[in-house]
Amino acid sequence: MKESLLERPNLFIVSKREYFTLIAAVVVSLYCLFNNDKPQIDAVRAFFLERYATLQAKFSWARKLVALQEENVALRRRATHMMLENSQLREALLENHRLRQMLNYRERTPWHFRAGRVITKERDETPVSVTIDIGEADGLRPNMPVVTPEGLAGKIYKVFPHTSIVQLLLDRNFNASARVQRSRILGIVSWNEGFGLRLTAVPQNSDVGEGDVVVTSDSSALFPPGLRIGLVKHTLEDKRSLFKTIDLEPAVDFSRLEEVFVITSPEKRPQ
Amino acid sequence: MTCWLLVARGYMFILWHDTSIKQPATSNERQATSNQNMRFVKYLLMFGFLLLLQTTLIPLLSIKDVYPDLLLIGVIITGIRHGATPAILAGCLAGFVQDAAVTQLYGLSALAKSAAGFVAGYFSREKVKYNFQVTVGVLAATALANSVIYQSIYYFDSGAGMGWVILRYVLPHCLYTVAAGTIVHAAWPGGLWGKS
Repeated sequence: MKESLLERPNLFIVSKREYFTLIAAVVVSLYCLFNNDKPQIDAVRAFFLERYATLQAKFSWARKLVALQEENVALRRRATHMMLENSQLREALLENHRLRQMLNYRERTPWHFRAGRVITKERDETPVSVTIDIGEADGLRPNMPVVTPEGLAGKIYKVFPHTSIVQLLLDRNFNASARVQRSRILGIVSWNEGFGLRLTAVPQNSDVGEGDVVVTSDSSALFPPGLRIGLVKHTLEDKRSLFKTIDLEPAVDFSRLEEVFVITSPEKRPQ
Repeated sequence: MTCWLLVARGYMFILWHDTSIKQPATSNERQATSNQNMRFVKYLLMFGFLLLLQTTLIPLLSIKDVYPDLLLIGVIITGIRHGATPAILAGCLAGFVQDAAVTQLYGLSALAKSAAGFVAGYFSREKVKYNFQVTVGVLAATALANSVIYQSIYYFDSGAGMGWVILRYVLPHCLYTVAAGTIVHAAWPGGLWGKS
């Protein structure tokens, strides 16, 4: 049968369709990769994420069931530990309050929180991002700090109508200005090649020791100062380098992350 | 956006209708179209089920953040049974769904899984006679292609050495997925290629 001119290009495409499909898929994927911040890509992402999150939320009980007993034991231990710590902190708070009044210090501006439940995790043991069940409709915006009772967990990366993606401290692109609580040394907390975190840009002669607490610094544009980030695990002194290598143990147990709080605004409490 | 959708629709039209642009006329042709639709629904359900397992049960099997990729096994099944084109499309779509919940690089899983779909379907195009060893080989080649593309782009410019990325993520992910795929192949009647 004689083929018309119109059919010839179709024949060519069909005979090489694997290659054309691969090229098309690669082009679309690369377009998305290089245009991550475009609203169109966000719309596609939101479409998939909302469905993915709904599915995950409905069946999350299956995972929880297995981890429940282990979690129960850990929570009991933590509750006892926190009860003891709480009584000590209460004493310290009262003392602090008295001292502030004496010095005529202004009360620190309280933060407003939104509680969110983790619905999906990227990786389980050392997650780099999580999806939470609150979004734009709840007043969330990108870059808002995300915390847990243990300390800083990350920041809001993307917001969708009813869900948000949180970039955690363990993400390799995450950086935060930090300070060693005891010696007030400034540094930058970033991803560590292995597991955990690293405090960088700390000069060799700085006073930093194992067990020192690292908190967010007041020079950070995103995070309120004083949020606990982690503990100094060990320090390495390389004589050829100007800076110390300091490995940190994160304050937050990311493998057990289930609820988080988003600091929505540092608005003043109504009088 | 509308323009992109029109282009995609036109492309799919050419692929699915081969050279004939006329509507199916005979009852046999109508039956064939109906079977194709049924197959599409079957695969959609399969990928939905695999996604469900991937997000609920698979994290419990993770060892040091390494876990098998069930969606990739789904792409391999599609490639072995129906060739590269459906496998690439399935991989691309599955990748976009997986990418939705991660922080950055939207499209990375889609890119890796599209290439993996091409690798899985390539052997089908070459009329390879499948046996157990060949199937494990296809699983390994596909998992390696997916893992190399994904992990090397993800850790590019991170300061981590390529050797570390290969030893820490590429090979373990690949081996775990091959192991899971082999178990599925051995346990499922007819294996991954769906023939008894």
